[in-house]
Amino acid sequence: MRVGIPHFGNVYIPVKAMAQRLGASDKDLIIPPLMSQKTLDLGVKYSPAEACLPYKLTLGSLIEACELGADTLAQARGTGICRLGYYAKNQEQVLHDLGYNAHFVTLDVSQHKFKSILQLIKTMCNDAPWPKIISAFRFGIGKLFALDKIEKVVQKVRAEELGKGEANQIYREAIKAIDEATERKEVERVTSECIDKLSRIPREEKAKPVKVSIVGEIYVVIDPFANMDLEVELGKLGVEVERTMTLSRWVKYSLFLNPLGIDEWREVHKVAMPYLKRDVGGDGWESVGEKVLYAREGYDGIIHVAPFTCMPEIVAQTIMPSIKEDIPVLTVLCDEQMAKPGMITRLEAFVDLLRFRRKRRKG
Amino acid sequence: MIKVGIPRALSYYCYYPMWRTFFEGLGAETVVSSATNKDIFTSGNLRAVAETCLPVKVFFGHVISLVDKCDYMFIPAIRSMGRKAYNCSKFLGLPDMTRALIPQCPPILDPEIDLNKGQRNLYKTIYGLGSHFTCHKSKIKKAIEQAWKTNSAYRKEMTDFGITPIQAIDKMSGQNCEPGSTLNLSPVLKIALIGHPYVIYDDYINHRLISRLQAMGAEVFTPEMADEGALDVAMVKLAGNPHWTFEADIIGAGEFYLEAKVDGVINVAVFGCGPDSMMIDVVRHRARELEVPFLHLSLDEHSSPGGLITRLEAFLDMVKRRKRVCV
Amino acid sequence: MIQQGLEEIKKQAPSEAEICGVATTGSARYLAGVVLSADLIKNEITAHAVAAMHYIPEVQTVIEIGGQDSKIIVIRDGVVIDFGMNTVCAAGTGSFLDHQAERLNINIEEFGQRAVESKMPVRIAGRCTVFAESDMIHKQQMGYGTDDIIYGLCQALVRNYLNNIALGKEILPRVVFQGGVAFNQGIIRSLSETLNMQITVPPHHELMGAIGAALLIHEEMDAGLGETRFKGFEVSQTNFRASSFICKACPNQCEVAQLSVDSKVLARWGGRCDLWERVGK
Repeated sequence: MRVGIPHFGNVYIPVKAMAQRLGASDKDLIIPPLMSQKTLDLGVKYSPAEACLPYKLTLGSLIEACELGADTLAQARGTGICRLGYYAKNQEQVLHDLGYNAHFVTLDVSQHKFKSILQLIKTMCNDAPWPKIISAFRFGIGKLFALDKIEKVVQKVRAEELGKGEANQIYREAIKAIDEATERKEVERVTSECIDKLSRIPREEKAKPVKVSIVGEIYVVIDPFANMDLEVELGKLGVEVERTMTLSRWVKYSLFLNPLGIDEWREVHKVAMPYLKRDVGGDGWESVGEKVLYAREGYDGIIHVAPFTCMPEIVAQTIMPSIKEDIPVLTVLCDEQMAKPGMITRLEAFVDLLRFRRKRRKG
Repeated sequence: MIKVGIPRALSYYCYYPMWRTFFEGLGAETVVSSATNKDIFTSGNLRAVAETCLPVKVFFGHVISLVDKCDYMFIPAIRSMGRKAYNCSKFLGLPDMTRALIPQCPPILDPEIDLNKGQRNLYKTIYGLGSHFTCHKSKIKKAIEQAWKTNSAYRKEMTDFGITPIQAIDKMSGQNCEPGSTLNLSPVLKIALIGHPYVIYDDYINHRLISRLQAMGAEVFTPEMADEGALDVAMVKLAGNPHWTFEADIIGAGEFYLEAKVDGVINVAVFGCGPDSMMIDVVRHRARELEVPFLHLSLDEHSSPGGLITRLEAFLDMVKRRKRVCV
Repeated sequence: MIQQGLEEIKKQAPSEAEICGVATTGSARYLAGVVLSADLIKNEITAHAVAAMHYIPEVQTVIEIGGQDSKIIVIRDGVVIDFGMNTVCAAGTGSFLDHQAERLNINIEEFGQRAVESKMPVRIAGRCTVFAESDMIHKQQMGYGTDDIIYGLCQALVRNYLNNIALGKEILPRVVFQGGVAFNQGIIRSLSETLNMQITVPPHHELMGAIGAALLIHEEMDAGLGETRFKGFEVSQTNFRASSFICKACPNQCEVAQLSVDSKVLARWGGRCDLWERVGK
């Protein structure tokens, strides 16, 4: 069994770590190359024209994994409304047509998440004994939590650093170092060193930077290739970014807190109620509620990212303007045709607008 | 008498007779918008977010046209008709999107229908709906039962006589049912038309697709003309358990008519429909396997009838020539 | 314009020639059909396929890129089994190139020649002319050579064509490339490189639609359809009147076009419903 996974943010790092702990080699776990134009072109070529971007990107990534010999592919699925439930079905057919004899193991991300995660891990770990799995899992998850912790600091430092790009450089080095670490202590050491380095970067002696929150569909919110390095570009414009959705948060709640009855979105749904009474699938309800919450917390603006034609996010996009809690929202729709210069122009204009509003509120 | 507005769009084509019976049973009157026209489309298009699919934009236009004509607007949030198969997000968000885009809309009745939650939950929801009109639970219960009966009769009309929802609705209201076919010669080709009812039967969206096909010599078969149970079986055969409520209309109907050996299959879809983008390839693949010509029409508000006619002609030419060669 | 064309044909045809059949094709085929009393009105997809098969019997893929629209036709064992037409916009069509050539101040004929000279084509984003234009300006400012940019544009058009019109269609040899744009060497090169196949451009590639329609009416007349309905070249002198009016029958307020001779209405088009098509027949 040669397991292949598609790319989604930094998820490859904890998975790789787990595999290594269990004694797997490069042949047992195949991580496709980091996503590139080639991945996108491959995905676009073999997808229906109007399929959503996460479908096309994960397909491209999985094709690349199959090219390297993977035969057991991991993919998410959901019962319920958004198209995620169809990914594995269609992608399996495409891969068969291309001549790859791959079969899918899927992770249910909408219900019975705890059970589903355990099942997936057990399968991918080739039925290794549980104590070994748990130890490997802890190691892998430790890396994921460390990476997200560092990223939170980077999101702040980027906005204020004097020499633009330093924080990104340190972040890239940290990702590499954490990926290569073989012990938990090493991961912890790298993390604290990195955060220390970040804190010592010379900062601008000016007023607080503009603060925006990024909401929307989880894949394009989290994955930098899918959103064309949105957060880096915002950092260049001196904007501090905050994001509720991270991989570590998802794991934390799905595995540990949801089974205890703690729903991480309860408050968000509650504040969304006057505007959207019910779950519309995907992350639509959450996007609406997050606008309300971030407005109340005094953020300057919201960037709403979604794949082009994403159904739940179109519902959110329709409802957002009528929300009384007033905060500017920029909608960025991601698809294979989006060109970076175009996105940057709109970000620049949006940030100018936010700065102008701030000045007006003060004066 | 209380007037309940029902927009002639989206779920109207599936359930209108049932809704009308229900509300009339409670002593209310239903007011339906007129057939889609340019004004209706334009008013909806002006308000909706650009990426919204055409049928939903049209829906908003229908609501706007009814705003002054009713006391309540009926926009149910249909989550699931069972089997853990769910409806597209837009259906669930419809009541709230309407509220956001059309603030002048009268109070919206938006019961959430989810058959997976069991009959008790369903009845509870409908009693809640009925309570706007009467406090007698027995009256509501009777109205529900009559409504279910009407729904079965409606479906039976379409499968027994091979007529469209519009014809069935006219027939059930006592109006004369136009034969609908302007055919001089007997049809040469059997063509299955698969897709959502609100695309197949809205002449504004599809530029009179059915009558054009009939005028070109095709006998048109739609999902509503087939038995629901048979569509279900076909759907599961081709794609396993359904993910969406309307998979039977596309995957089920596709497989059913392909097995029934139609001469060609046309899928009429709308640009930007999320679910369709995933389901179509399944049917296209199957049609290729069985070597049956398959045409995918992707319509939007900019589609011109000229381009549509060219495609239809070319498709029917292709089907005719193949038939000659293969026979 | 149809009448002018008719005059031209009359001049070029030998005087003893007898017209046995008339066919029309293209987006204005119905109008032309009425003016000429045509025996056959055929859509351009079928017409293009028939013409391609006539010149190259082993054809399995017809790629047609015209000024405003593009098609792909899949043929197996001499039968059309699938086709595609541009649906969303004109991105994979000739107008894309015309527009960019104009911007670069280059003759469209020279365009193709220069594209072939390119050694290192530049990637240009290309869903639509607007995006391609801004990307092209960007690349020009960065100092890329004009030849390379031109070839990049050709590649963008081919990419668009293959990703939109040809998406999901199985492309097998022989590949026949026809339509107005088939003179462009740059496009031919790009198609050939992207598909890794030989591309054949038939003689009279820009007239294949008309040739196909002619072949079809020829076939039908040979099979004994009867006398042609064509009234003769005098039609080029007839006083046709084209006019339009707004129909007030319903809120759609469609603009209906009509063609008449003297005061007799020959045909009407343009309404959303078939009210005017039925009246006056």
